[in-house]
Order: sequence, then structure tokens, then C-alpha cells
Amino acid sequence: MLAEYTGVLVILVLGVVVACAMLGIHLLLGPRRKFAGKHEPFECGESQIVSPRRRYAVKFYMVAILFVVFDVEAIFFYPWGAVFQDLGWFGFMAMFIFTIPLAIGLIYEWMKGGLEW
Amino acid sequence: MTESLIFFALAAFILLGAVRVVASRDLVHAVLWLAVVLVLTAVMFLMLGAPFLAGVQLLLYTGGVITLMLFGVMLTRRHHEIGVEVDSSRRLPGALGALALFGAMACAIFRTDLPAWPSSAPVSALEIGRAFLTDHLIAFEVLSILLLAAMIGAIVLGRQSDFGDEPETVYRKGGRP
Amino acid sequence: MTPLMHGFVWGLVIATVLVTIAVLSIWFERKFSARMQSRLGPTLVGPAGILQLVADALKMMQKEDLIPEKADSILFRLAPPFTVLFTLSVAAVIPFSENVLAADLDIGVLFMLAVGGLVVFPVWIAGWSSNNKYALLGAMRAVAQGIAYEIPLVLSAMVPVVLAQSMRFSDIISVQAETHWFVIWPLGPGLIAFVIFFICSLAEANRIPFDIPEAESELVAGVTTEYAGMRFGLLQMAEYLHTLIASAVAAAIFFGGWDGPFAPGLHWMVLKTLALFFTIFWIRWSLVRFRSDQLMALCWKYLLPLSLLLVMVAALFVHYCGVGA
Repeated sequence: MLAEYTGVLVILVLGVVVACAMLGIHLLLGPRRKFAGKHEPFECGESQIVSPRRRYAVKFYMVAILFVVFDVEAIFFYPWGAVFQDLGWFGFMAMFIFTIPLAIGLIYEWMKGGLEW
Repeated sequence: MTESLIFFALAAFILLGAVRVVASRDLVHAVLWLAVVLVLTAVMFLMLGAPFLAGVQLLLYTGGVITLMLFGVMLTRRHHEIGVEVDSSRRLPGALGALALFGAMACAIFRTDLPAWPSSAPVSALEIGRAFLTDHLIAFEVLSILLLAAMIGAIVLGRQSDFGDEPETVYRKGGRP
Repeated sequence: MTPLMHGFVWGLVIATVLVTIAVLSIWFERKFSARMQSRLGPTLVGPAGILQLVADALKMMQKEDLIPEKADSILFRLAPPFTVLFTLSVAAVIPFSENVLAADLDIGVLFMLAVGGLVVFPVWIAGWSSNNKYALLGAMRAVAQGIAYEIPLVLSAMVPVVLAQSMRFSDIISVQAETHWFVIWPLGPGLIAFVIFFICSLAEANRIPFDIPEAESELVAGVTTEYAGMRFGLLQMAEYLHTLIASAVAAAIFFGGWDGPFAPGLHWMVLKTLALFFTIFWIRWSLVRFRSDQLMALCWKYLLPLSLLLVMVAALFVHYCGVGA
């Protein structure tokens, strides 16, 4: 079962090795000269007044919710795509009915301006 | 033998991650630890012969739910400077509750007649597809109504909680595009 | 060769070759973009300036390993390697010929989408841990754009899955080899699905015209603002790898993968991948950047309904005409 995934594992290990090697060489060759100011956050020459970690607009959250909703739908398409032919017209209709409420939701969202950034 | 070893190592890491989720004082760290737990759970699904479920776990839970939580955290005010108070005054009731839950679940698991592991044939996407299009068709169709409700709820909440101190809103009030 | 050895050997080879191509493409892009703008690009180091790559790598390694004082230093260090790691692991499931593939998974396409979708997290972590407003803004934009375009991406990749009735990459390619490439036949759904897939891949990789997360005119360098030296190099490499791997996936599921006359399959697959990869560069140096609102409107109002419709059309096609016929 897991033998299939050897390739994935090998690539993961290789990725770790390459990244570590690159960063290791960097650590050996790079200079280290600390002075005040260099380690300040980049702010176009000014000093940072407020923390950047403040509240962000709710529209980011809206995108995430829409993503989860449609991702659930898209995920259901995958197993359906593999079997619907065996089930014939019935399988197709089942998915079609599943999609309708979501299409209505999308249209509602569109009308309400929820899709405007 | 090797599979058991991997299983227990994985289980240990999942538990460790789960502890970090509840013990982290930084909200973002807690969410990221949860992401680690979810990814490792996907690997666990893979080991148990459910590759499709593992893919769904990665795409939906790690990809979707974690993003939702991160953006949720970004909605809170000053989520970084103030560490979350990890309340440790009720350790005993907490431990008792956890133990009781553990006992109940362990009891249920041992009483259920489960197939031998590792199972010979992995559950394919084909079987899952056939199952939800025939046996669980009603649940499947109702799910889309649930998703619709989630979507409408999001719009309503999103409109109400549009706060006023953000630069974007200030622009709009000032009549700029 | 046992399956274990097969996966081991080809995993190693594919990953190495892809990383090499991604690095070489940086030189190619510099030359190509220079020509498009009536410049010469790098000429001094080595023949046609190709050793400029080595010079750049050496320069990067000699930079100081800067970690800002207020940064979350552990997450700051972890993020760049993970971008490369997640991006590269997608390569495992792409077949380059009948034999040249690291892992022929039952859930191939789903694996590609799921693991590819994880790349937004290290990017977000990189931006958040920097404790810099440009980096964090870039990161928020990157994640919002990444997840929004994930939906049409998943749905457009669904079209070949429906047409081939399988999620396994090698099955999808075999069906195309027996009938037609999906981009040609069925006329319409295949081609449009490919275009949507390609657009979404560009958006996922934050390439122009979708590079609002690192819009240099407003966000300095976006997520990479606080990064220097090799960590910056890793973040850049992940981006190039991402476009390369997306090209390979598109070549496999829409352009028939290794299928082609006269030459061995591997040649065809590499040729198709590089042609698509080249197209991405061409687009990058021809177009300007979208605004955030245009970006979101394109995704939710056009690509999402269209890709939903395409899946249904593809299903009807299979129902009436049979698989791939």
C-alpha cells in the first residue's frame, strides 16, 4: 500500500537535503556583522510605529468561507466523476440537483455584492 | 512490524501536536500546530488504506479550515501582542473529563468488530462515489442545502461586522472609489 | 526493478532534473525578457552569460543571514524550505513517460491539487513571521488569491478526470493516447478547461498578471521583503518550480503527456512541458498586473461558473459518446 508513495517520500527527503545544504553553505559563507538598525523591520527608512499584526478586513474571511463551501462541492465531484457512468442518467441528475442550491447561493452572493472585493 | 512502528511514531507526533495546539499562548502558533496535526492525520488515513480520504483531509481541512482559522485570527484585535490566557486552575476537572471521554471511546472501539489491519485493499474513490450516490443519496443532497446555509450566513455576518476603523472603509466614506 | 526501487530512482532523477531546469530558466528568463525589451541581458559571465547563474548563487550565499529582531525566528526560518518542499513533492505524481514516473497514485490528480494547495501556508507563514506590514499584506493577498483560484483549478482539472473516468495520471494519458488529446477533443470543453487551468496555475504561482501579492510598486517585495541571501533564493526557486510543475501537469492532463508520433514519449512530454513553461514567461513579460478587485471578480464571477458548467458538459459528453471517444 505505502510502497506506491516511495517516490513522494524520496522527493520530500531530497527537498529537505537540498534546502538544508543550501542554507548550511549560506551559514558558513555569510558574514555576521550585527549593528543596531540592521535588524529593524524594513519600513522604507522610517522606524516602525505600529505593529503590522493588526486587524485585517473581513473580506479575507469571506473569501475563506466561500472557498470552504465550494471546495466541499468540488471534492464531491471527484468520486462522482469516477462512477457516474455506471449509474447512468441517475448519477448525472444526482449531481445536478446537488449543484443547484450552490448555484443559487452563488447568484445570491453576487446580487448582494458579496463577490465584490 | 515496520507499519506498526510508523503508526505509533505518527500517533505520538499527532498527540504532541494536539497538546501544543491547546498549550500555545500565541493564537497563530496554535492554528499552525493544528495544521501539523491535520497533515499527520492525513498520513494516518493513507496508512490505513484510505488514500482518497487523505487527499480530502489535505484539501479541505488543511487547505480550507486552517485558512479560515488564520483569517479569523487576523480579524481579532492585536492577536499577537497579547498572549492567550491558558487557564490552568481547573486541571483536575479537565483531566477527569478527558479521562472519561477517553474511557468511553476506548470502550466503544474495543467493543466494535473492526476489520484486521493493515487492510489488504485500500478503499478507492470509486467505492466512495458509489456509496454516496446510492445508499447515502439523501444525506448527500441535504449537504448542499447545508452548504447554501453556510454561504448565506457568511454574507449576513460579513456585512454586519464590517467595522469602521479600517482604511478601506474610510476611503469609501470619503467618497473615493 | 521492484516498485520500491523504481519510486526511489525516478523520484531522485525527476526532482533533480526539475530543480536544474527551474534554476536554468532564471537565466533563460533574463535573456528572454531582455530581448523583448531590446536589451542584451547578462553577457559577461561565461558564454551568453550562462554562468551568471553560478555568480548569482555565490553572491547569495555570501550575503548575511539576516533575521529581523522582531521576527518569529523559528517560523521565519522554516517557511522558505517548506515552500520548496511542498512544491517539489507534487512532481512525484507526474508521469514523464510510461516508465519515468516516481509514484503512479490512484488519487494522482487529487494529490496534485491537495499538496499543491498547501504551498500557500509556508508563504503566509513567511509573511506573518517577518513582522513587516508589506510582507504580511503580501501574504494575506497571496493566500486569498491562492484559495480563491484553487476552486476553478480543482474544477477544471476535473474535466480530464471525467473524460478519462480516472484520477490516475497514467490512465488519463492512456485514454488520450488511444483517442485524442483532451485539449483538441471534445472540442470546446477540453480547450476551455485547459485555459482555465492555466490561468489558475498562474494565479497560484503568483505570476504576472496575478502577482498582486508581491506588487513591487506598492508592497516593496511582498512576502520576500525581509528575506535575504539563500532564504530569499529558496522562495524564488519555489516560484519557478511551481510554474514548471504546473506546466508539466497541464501537459499531462490536457496535451496527452507522452503521446506523440516519431519520437520517444519522454521527448514529447518534455517538449510540451517546456512549451507551456515558455508561454508563462511570454505572458509574464507581455502583460500588466490585475488589480485585486479585478482578480477576485475574474475568479468568482467568470471562472467558477464556467468551470462548473464545463464539468457538467464533459459529463454529458461521456454519457452520450463514451469515454474519450
